[in-house]
Amino acid sequence: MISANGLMHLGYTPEVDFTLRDDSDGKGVYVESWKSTDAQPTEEAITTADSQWDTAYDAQAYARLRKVEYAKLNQFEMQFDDQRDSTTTWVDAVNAIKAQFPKPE
Amino acid sequence: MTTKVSSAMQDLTDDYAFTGTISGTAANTPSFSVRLSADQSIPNAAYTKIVFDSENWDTNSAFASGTFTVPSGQAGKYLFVFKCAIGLLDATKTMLARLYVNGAVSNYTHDSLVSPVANFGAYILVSAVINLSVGHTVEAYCYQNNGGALDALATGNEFSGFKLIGV
Repeated sequence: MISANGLMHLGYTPEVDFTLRDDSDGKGVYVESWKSTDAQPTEEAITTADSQWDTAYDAQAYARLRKVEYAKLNQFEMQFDDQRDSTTTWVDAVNAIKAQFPKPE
Repeated sequence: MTTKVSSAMQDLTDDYAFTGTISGTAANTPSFSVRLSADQSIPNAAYTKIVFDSENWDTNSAFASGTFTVPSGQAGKYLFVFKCAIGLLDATKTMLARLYVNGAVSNYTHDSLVSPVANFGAYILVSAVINLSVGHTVEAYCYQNNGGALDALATGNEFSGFKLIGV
């Protein structure tokens, strides 16, 4: 399967090194133009790289979920308040998010 | 016999009720307007044809399988309008919309945007006047580089066109 993610995993950049196209005719994505000075990778190599990209992307799911929750915190204010009040609300909140979305072993 | 209306014959500032029939006038046809009946998935970083499958109208049955084909005897200049809308883009990601004529694109049928914020509901309106011959084809394509597939929205995508007269 040809995919941009597979080609990017191999180190190539969309619209710089390649342009992909899908005519929605059931034949899937294909390379409309190959612009890199390197030889175009085989479909097998792109498919393998796409699978590796998927694995790497899925492995970072916990980090993406944590990031959404971290963004909801007013962390600087929590840290300031904790220092002023001798409390641990910031550390507690971050630990709670880490526990909610644990890093896979 | 042809008689021209002139101010020497009639007062052209008066009101007149027309009761005759106009014939022989040119019409802006072929004309079509199509939409999506359901969302269509657009893979990451690949120009993808939008397969419009719901016709609002198609005067000459010239639109099929997402492609407008100039019918016999209908060469000329056409105006096309393509509104492309996709699901939410992350910040700094790009969306493009373009028309392919006979399978190829030109800079005159192409537009793009870069998402200024996260969760950006992006749409682009592309319009173009194209001089076409019989059998030429026009198709609408969408592109996004959000990282994964995004949907072209049934509620926001529309493709229409009609033949211009007098040009």
